[in-house]
Amino acid sequence: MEAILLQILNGLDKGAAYALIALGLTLVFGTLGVVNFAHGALFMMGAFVAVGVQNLLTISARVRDTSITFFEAYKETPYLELWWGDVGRTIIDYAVPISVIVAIPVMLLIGLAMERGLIRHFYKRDHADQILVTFGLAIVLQEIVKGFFGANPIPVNAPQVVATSVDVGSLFGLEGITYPWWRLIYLGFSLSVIGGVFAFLHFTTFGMVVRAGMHDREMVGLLGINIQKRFTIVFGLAAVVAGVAGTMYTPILSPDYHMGMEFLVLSFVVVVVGGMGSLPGAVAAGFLLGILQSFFSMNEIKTYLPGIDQIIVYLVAVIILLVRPKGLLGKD
Amino acid sequence: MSDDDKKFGTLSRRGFLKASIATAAAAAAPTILIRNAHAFVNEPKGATVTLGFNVPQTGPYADEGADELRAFKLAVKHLNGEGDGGMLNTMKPLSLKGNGILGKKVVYVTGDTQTKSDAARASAKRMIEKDGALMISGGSSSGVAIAVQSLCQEAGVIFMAGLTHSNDTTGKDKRKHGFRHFFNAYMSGQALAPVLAEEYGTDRKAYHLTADYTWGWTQEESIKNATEALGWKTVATVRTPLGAGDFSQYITPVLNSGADVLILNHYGKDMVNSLTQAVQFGLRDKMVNGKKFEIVVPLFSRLMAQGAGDAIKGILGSTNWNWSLTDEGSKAFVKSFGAEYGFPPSQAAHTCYVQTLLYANACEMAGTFNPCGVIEALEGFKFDGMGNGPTEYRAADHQCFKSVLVVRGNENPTSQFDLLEVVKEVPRSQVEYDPKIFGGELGSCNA
Repeated sequence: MEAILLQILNGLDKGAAYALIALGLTLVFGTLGVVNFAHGALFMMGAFVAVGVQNLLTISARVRDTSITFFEAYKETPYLELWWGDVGRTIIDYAVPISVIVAIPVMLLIGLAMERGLIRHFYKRDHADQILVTFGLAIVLQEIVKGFFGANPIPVNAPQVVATSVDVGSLFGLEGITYPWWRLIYLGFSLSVIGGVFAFLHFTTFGMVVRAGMHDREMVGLLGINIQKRFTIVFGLAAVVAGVAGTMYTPILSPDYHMGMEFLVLSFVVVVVGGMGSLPGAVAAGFLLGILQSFFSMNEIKTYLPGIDQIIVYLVAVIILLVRPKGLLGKD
Repeated sequence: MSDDDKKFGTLSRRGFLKASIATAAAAAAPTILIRNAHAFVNEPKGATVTLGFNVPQTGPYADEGADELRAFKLAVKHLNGEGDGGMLNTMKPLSLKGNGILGKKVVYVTGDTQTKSDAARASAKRMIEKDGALMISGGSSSGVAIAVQSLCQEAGVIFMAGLTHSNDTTGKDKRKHGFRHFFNAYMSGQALAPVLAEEYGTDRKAYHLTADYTWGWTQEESIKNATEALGWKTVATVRTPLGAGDFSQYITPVLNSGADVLILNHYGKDMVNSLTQAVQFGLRDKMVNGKKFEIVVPLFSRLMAQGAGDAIKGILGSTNWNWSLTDEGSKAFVKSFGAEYGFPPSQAAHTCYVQTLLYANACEMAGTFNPCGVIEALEGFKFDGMGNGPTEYRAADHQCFKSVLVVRGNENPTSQFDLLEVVKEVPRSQVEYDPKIFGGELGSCNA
């Protein structure tokens, strides 16, 4: 029972990350008709906003390190600590929440620049061309990040107060089930963002126009609405969603330049399983595949089916696509 | 009998005698002299000799590859008589003169392994066939090392392995042309086990998470055997895909498995992620079976430890070398490297630097670049002053035997580089083994 509860939590947590990336992917496909292989890179760049903010907050004074005598080495103490003591340390400790606030405008700008500067030139091209150019863009972005930050993972910590685990078992009358605070926060955060995106698309005029445009772009255009401008903003919104998902993920997975690619492939499977262009489908498939992946990693299952955890997502995707070629919630 | 016949008859008599003498002399001469008379792959004709440094310049181990490359460049500098000489001042016995190798200036070409076997082989092939590299070195993965070693055997050039820890490299996949200075998983197990018994007792239940490829398998086997010999029980051994990223689904089953020790047979990015996540799940704060839950990382790397941040504090593991060693060789190398780059070298840099010097020294000893001569010079070569105390390149499997370091993540680092504290320097005698236990055949020289 304990093991099942823990795997459900793991699955929800993993699924939350898949769902957030897939949500942006499917939104861009549904509005602009672009298959964006650079979407994983946006997740990675969001994570590196956290690294950048952390680096900024820890800009340090260099003091000669006398403990090293073999060569000239220097110790670094952050200026914030030197100037403000405990307050400075607390600000550094809260680098991730601060980064989320910074990531919103930064990722919006990156998204808009990406769409205006490159992707709009490929609207009328084949999907193959779009995949090639966005994949190339993803590689370029990766290499830029690697050039600045190196190839090794960079540790980014959650605030000390939520860096520990919480006894979630006590809520269900079970003993000894602890789960990291930050993962629970991430799950709550993801659900809020997903809810926010849906609310934005359903309850605002802007969102309704976008949905109308997704349904019949030409008709909305004929009504005198500049749908293209709105779709550009939607691309920026998708970049923000992917970016903040990456920023919040840094205490779970130390960011490195390649992390976006690792999520991208699975997120595409999520989008296809959910139904290309279907927002609820992407969210449902994200959580479904996350939970399946976690369950099939259990030793009790792996004993009988070794390696099943590594193929289960693709196996389920094949089955779903055979039964429902348009995906779980895709429309015919 | 015609004149021609007479001539033929005389010649054949004398010719026969001459040929017999020549054959006998040739048979009596050392093999190396005969080989010298023949050309071999990429025999240096001009004033330079080219070495090929095949390191991960992209991919997950790119930072480690960059450090290896720094060390190679420093080694070339020292071989050519530039800089402060580094370990050339401490290595014993030393045949090098600081004028290149056998009087030829050392130049180098580089390749990118991408930590992929096929890319590493393609890159090594290019360096051998197009750039004329006489020796290939480097790499940061056992899969890559085994693949490139096999290629070098086929091509007839020497392979001086970089960072590779799998037992297979000098075990079942060993080759006559391949040499490894780095230690292996078996040695990690033998070095770590007594320290584990001392620190955590002999009544423990271990749970292994293992990277699912050659290095992970051999390390799991070695550590499992070593800890079970102590009296520990193995609760489960779980294979995890390489580069899994999020290990939560593999870590949560540990919580209720009854295990009180988690052994992470992970390296690089996997190690950083699995260790960080295990700490986040509160494993180190747990009490199981009346004992404090412990995590062990059998293969530690300082570069990777930087990625794990505070999570490595107090964690036991083993390493081939650490920059904080105070022997003359280590000090000389750290001083040279630190002066050149502003930070201390990693264990990957150390092994690559030493391998380059050892290869060059073997050429000088053999008096030839011919790989067969170099192999003969390296086999059984005993040396000191290179950072690990007295060391021997065992002839039977081309594995270096020397002391191994058991280290712990430093609880109170005195500097940003002071991440690992040396707990014990385990002597060679404790980590030595019969080469037959891992099988494999060296084969013969292919030059």
